Amino acid sequence: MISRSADIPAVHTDDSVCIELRRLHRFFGPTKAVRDISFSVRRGHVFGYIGPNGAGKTTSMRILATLDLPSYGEAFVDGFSVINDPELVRHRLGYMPDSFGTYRDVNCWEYLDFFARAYGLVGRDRTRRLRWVLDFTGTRGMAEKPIRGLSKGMKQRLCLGRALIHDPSVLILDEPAAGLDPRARIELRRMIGELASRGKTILVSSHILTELAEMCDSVGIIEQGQLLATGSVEEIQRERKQHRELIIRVLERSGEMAKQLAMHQNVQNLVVDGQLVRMEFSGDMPSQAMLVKELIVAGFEIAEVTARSKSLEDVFLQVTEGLVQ
Amino acid sequence: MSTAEESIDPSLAEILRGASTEDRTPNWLKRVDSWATRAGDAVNPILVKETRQALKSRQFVVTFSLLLFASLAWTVVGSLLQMPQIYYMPSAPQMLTGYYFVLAVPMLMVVPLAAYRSLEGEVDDGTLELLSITSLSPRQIVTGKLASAALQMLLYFVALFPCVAFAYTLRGVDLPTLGLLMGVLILAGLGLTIFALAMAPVSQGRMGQIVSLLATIAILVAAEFAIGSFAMDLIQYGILIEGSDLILLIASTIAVLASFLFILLMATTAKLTPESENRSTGIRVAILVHLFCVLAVASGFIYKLTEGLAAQNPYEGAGVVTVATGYFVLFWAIVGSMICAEAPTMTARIRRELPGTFLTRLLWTWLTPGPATGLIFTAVCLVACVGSMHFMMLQMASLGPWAASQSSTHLQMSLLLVSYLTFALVGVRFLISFLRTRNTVNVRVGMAALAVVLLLMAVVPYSIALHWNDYRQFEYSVWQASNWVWTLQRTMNSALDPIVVYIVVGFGAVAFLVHLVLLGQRVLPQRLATPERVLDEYRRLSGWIPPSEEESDPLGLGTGGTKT
Repeated sequence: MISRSADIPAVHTDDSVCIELRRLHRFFGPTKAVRDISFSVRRGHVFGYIGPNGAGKTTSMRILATLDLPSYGEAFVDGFSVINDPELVRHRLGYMPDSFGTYRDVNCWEYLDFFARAYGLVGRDRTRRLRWVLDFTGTRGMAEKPIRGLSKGMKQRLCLGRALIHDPSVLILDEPAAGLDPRARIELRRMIGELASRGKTILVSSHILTELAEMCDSVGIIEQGQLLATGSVEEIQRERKQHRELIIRVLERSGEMAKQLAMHQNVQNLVVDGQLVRMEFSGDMPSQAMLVKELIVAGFEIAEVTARSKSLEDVFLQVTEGLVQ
Repeated sequence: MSTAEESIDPSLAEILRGASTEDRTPNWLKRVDSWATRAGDAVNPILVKETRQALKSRQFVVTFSLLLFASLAWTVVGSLLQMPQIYYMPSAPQMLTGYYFVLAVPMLMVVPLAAYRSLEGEVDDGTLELLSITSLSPRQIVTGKLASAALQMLLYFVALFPCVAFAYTLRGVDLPTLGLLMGVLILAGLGLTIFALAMAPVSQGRMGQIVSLLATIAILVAAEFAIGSFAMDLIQYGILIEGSDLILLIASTIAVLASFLFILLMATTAKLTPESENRSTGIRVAILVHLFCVLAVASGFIYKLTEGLAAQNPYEGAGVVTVATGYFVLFWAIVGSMICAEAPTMTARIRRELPGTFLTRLLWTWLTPGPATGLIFTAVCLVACVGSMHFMMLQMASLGPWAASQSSTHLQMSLLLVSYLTFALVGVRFLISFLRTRNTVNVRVGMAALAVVLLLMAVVPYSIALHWNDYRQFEYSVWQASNWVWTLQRTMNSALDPIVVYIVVGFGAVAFLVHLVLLGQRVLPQRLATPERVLDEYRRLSGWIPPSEEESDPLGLGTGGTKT
């Protein structure tokens, strides 16, 4: 029998699929909010859900959170259907919506205590859990303050605390960083990172792509209800045949080197700027190493090689077309 | 403990200072604390939250203060106004009238409206969604709100109790009257709160919410007025009925009203329940309970008023039969139209809970959710209710020629009403199915569809005949059989050709059979087996079965951290 203190969150170590969407569709009359979306997230991974406003992110997240029903298709959390076994899904799932629902005349502690009771936590376990959540989200000092007077950042922390109160294995965070100042964003990113390191499976949507790129193991890009790309940023780049920008600083004969590079099959869009030679390189890392080696063997005095992969923002801009439903 | 911590909740204080402090509490106090904690954990979380909110809310503070001030003011002013008669004449009725109004406003108006706003606020602010993904069931949410309202009522009642006791000492109102008055006030308060809770989630959208709120306020004001009138009569004249009659009247009223409020509670719960779950069976069971109560009450009254079915002229008995028949038809017109507009969603989750054995399928299939079984449920119950009333009429038919003629008219009327309604509901069922192909249809559309179908049934044959007769006056004919207004009016005047009854009954029966044939197997959805893994998980959650050594605890609660 496992007897583990409730204030220590569970750590999940196996690598099975934890969230799965199969051919998910959601129609609102003639509007097709979600069209044939399928993807899966492995246990302990952070999955970033990216898309413009009205792309269908919130709709599919709400279906996963058992708040809405798909018109067609299925969604599973830990292998349990969100349609047929919502109670079992809810036990495993913490949901943080994009809007924060508050109660009048309630302070932070009462708010969390109420949701702890609502999730069935009793006695000292509830007290321990509350203590852990207040500590983790940094809201212990706010415990007695009424919710209505809290700042946006504090409300987001509290909302995250509410989603964590029953120690779910899966977290669904809908735009958690929206409207936060830089410090609050950094704090939120730290908390998500820490939760991920504890083995929580996290599905997070955000408009701040640089932050998502840092914390996500993989991303899904959605537009007009359709999933356009999914996988790690590198995988999507590879799929989309995205080029890396390569900058080489050569001390002499930069024009001659440019002529040699122009003949290389993986090099495009060459620009010579004094000692700097910029280009787009489409090969993989070994090819890149081979190219540098060839240049050195050819006698070019190479002082510096800089390679820059395209960012998630670049990938997003390339994959999406800027359409909004 | 610091000064700041002394003023806050003990559990919060424990959190703030941590659990490291040495515990010097005596054992007996720890046991009391443990029992209190367990009792607190057993209470509905919504009740805990609502009570915390209510006791801190400005609305409660203002209402409670006003109640205390008004009761005190009336005690002084009322006593002075009755000087010096108060010393030698019974003065309780005057004083009690004032106290009644002081108590009735918060109990019949403020508390139900606060419950309405509370549930509406949950829907508006999005907190209902947060609640719906917790372990709380929709029933717990609704009953929690109701319990919180009841607790507030209790506080108001207790606050005014000394004043009521003071009024009683002034003589003029006996204890049973006082008890009945307070009982009526409490039950009416609870009933109106249930009604307000049922109205809260009905409309979404700003305009709908405003209309819903205004309708609720209007009904609360009307109820306040009606109950107030009854209370004034009760205070002035006392209880005019005595003995077994009084007990029968109170029991009947409580049975009918309580069972009706039970339907409202189930409907509110269903409104908060996701579409993937069975929202219908609970309401149908509540409807059956209500109908059973109404039938029992109606039969009891008929028996009582006809002196055990032996009176020479059973006018009052026949009156009860007519009223009850009218009630059943109106009830089933409203309820049946909504049942026929139910969503036909039959998720695997619902199908897992369907009756599995031959006997249960035979007995309970009509409780299976969906419009197809709903129409069968409606038709069967309608026939049973109206049939029971006609059975009572037949029992009275032997009591004289008047009763016999009434029995014959009642038979015609019953057959016509049941057939018209069945025919119209089949129409509603198909109309809703058509609308549902391109739109999202809620159950309220069913009532609108019924109104349309009934209107067409009456207006179309009349318009055709009018046109056929060059817009001149014309006589009733068999072609007007579907014109239910004209046909029923002729039945009441005993001027209807029996052939029309046969035609209408025939059409009703054929429509019902066509509906059955067209639906075929959809009326009898098959039960699905629940996957073993799901059963195991439910067993683990409900039966405190610990996870295996290899399995991690997804809830992180250890063993025994949750209740079910």
